[in-house]
Amino acid sequence: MRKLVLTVDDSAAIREMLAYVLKSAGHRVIEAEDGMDGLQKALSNKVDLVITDQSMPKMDGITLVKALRALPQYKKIPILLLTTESADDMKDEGRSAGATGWLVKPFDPTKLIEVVEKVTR
Amino acid sequence: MDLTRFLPMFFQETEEHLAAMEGHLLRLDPRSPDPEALHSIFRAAHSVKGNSTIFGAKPLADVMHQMESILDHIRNEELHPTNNVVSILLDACDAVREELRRLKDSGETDQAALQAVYERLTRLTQADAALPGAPHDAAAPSTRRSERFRVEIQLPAGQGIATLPLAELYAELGALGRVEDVQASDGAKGAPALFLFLLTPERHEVVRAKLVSLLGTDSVRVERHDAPPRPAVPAEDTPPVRPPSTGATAFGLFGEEQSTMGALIRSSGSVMQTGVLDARITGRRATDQDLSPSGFGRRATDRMYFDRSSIRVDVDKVDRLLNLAGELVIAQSMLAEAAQRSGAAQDAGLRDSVAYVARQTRELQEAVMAIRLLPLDYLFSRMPRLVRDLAQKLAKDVELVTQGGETELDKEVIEKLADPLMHLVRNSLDHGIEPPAVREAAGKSRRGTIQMRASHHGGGILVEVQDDGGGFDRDKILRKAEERGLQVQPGMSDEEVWQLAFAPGFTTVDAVSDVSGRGVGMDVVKRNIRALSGHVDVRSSRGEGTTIAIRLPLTLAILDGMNVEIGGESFIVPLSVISEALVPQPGQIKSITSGPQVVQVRESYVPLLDLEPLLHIRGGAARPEAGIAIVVEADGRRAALAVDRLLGQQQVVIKSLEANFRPVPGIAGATVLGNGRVALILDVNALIRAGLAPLKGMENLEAEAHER
Amino acid sequence: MQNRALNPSRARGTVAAPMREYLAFRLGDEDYAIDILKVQEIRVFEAVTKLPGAPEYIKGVINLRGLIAPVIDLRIKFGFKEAAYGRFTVVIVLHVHERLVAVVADAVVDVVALTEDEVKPPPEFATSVNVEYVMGLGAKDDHMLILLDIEKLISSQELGIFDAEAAL
Repeated sequence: MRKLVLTVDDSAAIREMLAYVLKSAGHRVIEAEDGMDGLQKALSNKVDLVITDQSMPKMDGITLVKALRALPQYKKIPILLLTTESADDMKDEGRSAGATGWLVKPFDPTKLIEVVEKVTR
Repeated sequence: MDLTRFLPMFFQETEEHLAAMEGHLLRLDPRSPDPEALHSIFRAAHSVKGNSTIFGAKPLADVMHQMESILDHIRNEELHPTNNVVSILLDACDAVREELRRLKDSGETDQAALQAVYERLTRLTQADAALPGAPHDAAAPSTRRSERFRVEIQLPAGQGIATLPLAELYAELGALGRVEDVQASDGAKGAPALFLFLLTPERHEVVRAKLVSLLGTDSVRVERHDAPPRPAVPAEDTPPVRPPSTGATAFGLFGEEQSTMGALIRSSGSVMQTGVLDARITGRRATDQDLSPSGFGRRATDRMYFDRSSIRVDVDKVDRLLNLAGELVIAQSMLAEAAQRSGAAQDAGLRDSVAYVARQTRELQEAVMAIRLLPLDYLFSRMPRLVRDLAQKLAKDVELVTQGGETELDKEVIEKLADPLMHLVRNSLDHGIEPPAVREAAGKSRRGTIQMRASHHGGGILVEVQDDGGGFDRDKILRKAEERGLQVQPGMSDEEVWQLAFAPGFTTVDAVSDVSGRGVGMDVVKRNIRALSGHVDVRSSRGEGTTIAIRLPLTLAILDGMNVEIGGESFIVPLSVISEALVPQPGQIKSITSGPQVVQVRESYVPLLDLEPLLHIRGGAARPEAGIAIVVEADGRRAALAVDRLLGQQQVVIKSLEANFRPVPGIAGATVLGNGRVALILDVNALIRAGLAPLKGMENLEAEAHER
Repeated sequence: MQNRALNPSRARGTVAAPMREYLAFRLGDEDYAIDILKVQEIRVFEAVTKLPGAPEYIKGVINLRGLIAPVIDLRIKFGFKEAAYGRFTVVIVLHVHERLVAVVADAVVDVVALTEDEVKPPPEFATSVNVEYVMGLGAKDDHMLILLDIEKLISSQELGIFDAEAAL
């Protein structure tokens, strides 16, 4: 099913890669280059899924998750954090902040699609 | 997935991150580094690390990881960013840049070089460099230090967060600084509220004022907050480079159920306990005063660059757009011409339409050209590093001050200005500024200053490089000029002598300095500036210093010009140099024994340029009364051009003559007219210089003319 | 004659002996030939804008679809008896050293393919054109073609088209 995905990452290369994979699977993509930008885009679009990096200017990923969860319309929308494998601290923080799950970088395209399907069912 | 298609972005981004890191590093205050700056450097290093990992450049990722560690130590006050530390970090950036270049060019990697850098960084993380003591040659911070504030927004009972103007609120916060944490209290303990933690260089009153105007006085409280609301994320271990995770750990979900309200409350509750009052007091208080600048990079005007909404566009696309806009200008003038020829100009409707198209074309063109404008800071920002490294090498104490960096120039002009500017700065450092001891002996301050200023100046841009060094040595230059067989006359003015230094192959360096290179300097600078349709002037005073002034047109592409006919040929005179045009009456033109004819313009007399020897045409100068005199002014000097007819004002697209031909003296460029023919654009500056050169002084001229 | 753009990359059949293609054109009484790969197009001689202070053999500049290119008359440069501009006078637009330069010709003769055997070494006696720019003599159908090293000629100091700043 076609979904509207918001990708938030300050690396244009990563955003490109995510968009490439998501669009080939038929989803629509909105991109943001930092947490604040992501929040603004989430406020002005009805997004089905958020995929966000952690370390970004203006507002980092965890803060973005918290800000989103404080909004009624985003209390239940799936939010995935992009992490590097061994970042256990971040996973804990992510969980407490209210993220739905995490995705490891570098990501496998098929896994990405799988997760997207799973959380947006 | 084939990652190579994303490689160019990777390279570009990494370059940008490195530049940002460098900029922040140069401005760090070793005594108390700005947390926001440290944060930015850390983030940049982190991004490069992340990207490098994805693209399989492990050595790079490792180097970045060490940088992260060092920055962490600095953040935790376990390490002071002294000169030495900053140098090591800057060197690391250089090494990464080199590696990038290598990878881009040949795909090869220099393991040994990166390994050496890695080890140097590692030693630093272990070194006990936390000792206070006097950090010498501190790089000065130019921006206010950032402070933390806790913003509490009360929500009246029963109203949800959705009643707040969230978009505007977050936009305002984003403009103020960085939002470090967000916490929502649902009202379980007292009124529901939203807590936001902000890191900003703005003062308390400013933050409060902005939020109050948005939300009302009663709803918002702003308080200083000492600690980072969440512990800073420590540098993660570098993950081993491996193919993208395919195993079960590739992703995970926190519990199978989606967040329910209950889970949300529980999680936010737990955060409330640990977050706000987390007592990790770092003991560093932000201060209000600007620390006195004393180092390698000081900006005379402060400027905070706020993230503006922007998109990345390929330069080629912009160039294509610009070309199309330019061709549209030509097409539009062809249209105007055809309309005129056909006599349909009587048709008011057609006339109006043509005029409308002309206006729209012009606007479109200006808009497209504005896309290509970049602030000069793009160049100025490279200078502190250059000055620092070179001054160290030459054992001189030099400070760089920049001003007017926000002045914008066409991208192409800026790029072509880079080399000349750097060369001028190198020259000032190498030959201009004296060693500290020499300066002291001369009664000057030990520290020399190089000022780089940019400003708008009469339709163009003026960029000046000024040093307070020893100035040009007139005798030395004259001697060298004679040696080189250049034309030297007794009684040459200082300006003329300085111009000698711009001759090809000229150099006054006795020993070839490996810093400036051979004497290929000044003449290349002049040629490069001329290729930009600009001019270079020198003002110098022995013992006091030198100022090099570069004048540039705003854009390379378009010119408002007056089409004139001289000797049957069509030429374009740039409108920016024309002050007026007049039909000389008999008696207004006088001849003077010592020079050219002059034409009376109201109260004064302006020399009439004889275009015949200059342009090799029979111009109207033979019978100036029969034509029109155009009074032009350039470089503070006035002259009059005698032309046969005025053919009309038009906007022309400047085409380069030098792309396929050599420079023609007196001609600045060419353009294509509405009839498809080429018209040459006059270089009025050069014509004035050449035409008036043999003259002694304006006063004599005027005096003589008045006598007659 | 219409402005004709030549396509130098024509399909070649299998040829036994290595061949190069040349554009043959007439200057005065003689036929010259230049490497066709350097030729961008051929245009009618018209609408040349004079350049102040340029030597006589540099006729001026023309507009080539937005680019400004100089026009050179070799007949004048090498002292031919006549340099007329008539119905068949053309300019051959060359792409040399990243630049565009147009050369006046009395007429275009043909596109000629010559094998190595058909090219003889340059003569020892002086030709109208300075012999250092002559690569050889080509013989085709009783026709003698003087093969010019046009790149060397165009970028030569002697012609002075490129670089070298001058002062007023």
